[in-house]
Amino acid sequence: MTAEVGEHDVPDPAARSGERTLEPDDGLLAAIADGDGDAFRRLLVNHLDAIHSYLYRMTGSTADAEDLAQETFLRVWRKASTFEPGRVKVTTWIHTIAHNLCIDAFRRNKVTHAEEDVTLADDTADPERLASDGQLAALMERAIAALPGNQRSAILLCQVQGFSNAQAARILGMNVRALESQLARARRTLRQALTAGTGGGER
Amino acid sequence: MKLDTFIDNLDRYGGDLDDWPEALRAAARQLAASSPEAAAAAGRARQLADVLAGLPERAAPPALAARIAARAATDRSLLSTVGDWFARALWRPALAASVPLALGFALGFSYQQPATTDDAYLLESFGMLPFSSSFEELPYEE
Repeated sequence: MTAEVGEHDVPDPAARSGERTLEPDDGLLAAIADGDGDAFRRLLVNHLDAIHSYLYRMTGSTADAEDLAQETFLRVWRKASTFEPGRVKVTTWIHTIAHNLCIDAFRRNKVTHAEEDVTLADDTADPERLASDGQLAALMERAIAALPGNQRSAILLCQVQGFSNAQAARILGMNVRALESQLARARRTLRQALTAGTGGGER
Repeated sequence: MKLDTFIDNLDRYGGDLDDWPEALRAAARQLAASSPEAAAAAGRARQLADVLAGLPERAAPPALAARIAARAATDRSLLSTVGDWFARALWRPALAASVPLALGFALGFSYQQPATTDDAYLLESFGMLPFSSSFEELPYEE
């Protein structure tokens, strides 16, 4: 793997809301490894929403997202002692666990993701109205849901969860160049969907 | 940099030219400044990035964190219960077994008796066992 964590360091996606505590996550993992339940609950507060959000968009199902999020954090609880501080960020480590569980579930056909039609029914769409009533976000959600799995995970990690290309590549277990290929395809599709949805033209 | 390459790179590295590899940045900025088409393409890429970054977080239901914490507590208490029982039940027999074993090893390594001629003959006989079809063939002394 050629990915190097920290190459393009980004703010912890779990801290983007600004409402969460700023516990040093490495310390939390060390405490969890010693069986500290309070540290585990703080880690949940810091990361559960981001993980659930990622899994929801990967699976398209609230129930599957909840099941996989639960399994992810139970793995964190059991395997905290195997975390190597300084090698990866805690958020990268947890996303890696979540992504791998998600892929396992896809492989076992326990979880499926229905692809949807990404075009808007209203072809006279006005960009300002779309943005104001949330239709633009809904359009993008549908376009993301329709992407192939690798492209969907790449775009979600880099553009929604806030990871650098290097960090996302590590989570997905691929090299940065392969990730960038997935990103390029995903962005092209999403840009076309956005342009079509907002009635704009594109070269 | 040609326009097609610029647009490919926009898809690959995103609409913020600061995120591009350093070797490509200067040429990309130059093209974006001189070509209206390139500037428009960069604008569309930034718009896409803004829309994606602005997607609302799909927060977990409030009960989920409590449910996971409860499961983890059960998980750990089950593990520790089993671990405690194992430790309580086995430490005495394990200690009792290890003391004579350690003594045996210590004595065995500290006291080495030189092999006698008889011992050497016996060892040679046992060494031939795998090659003998029956015990009668063994070179027992009469």
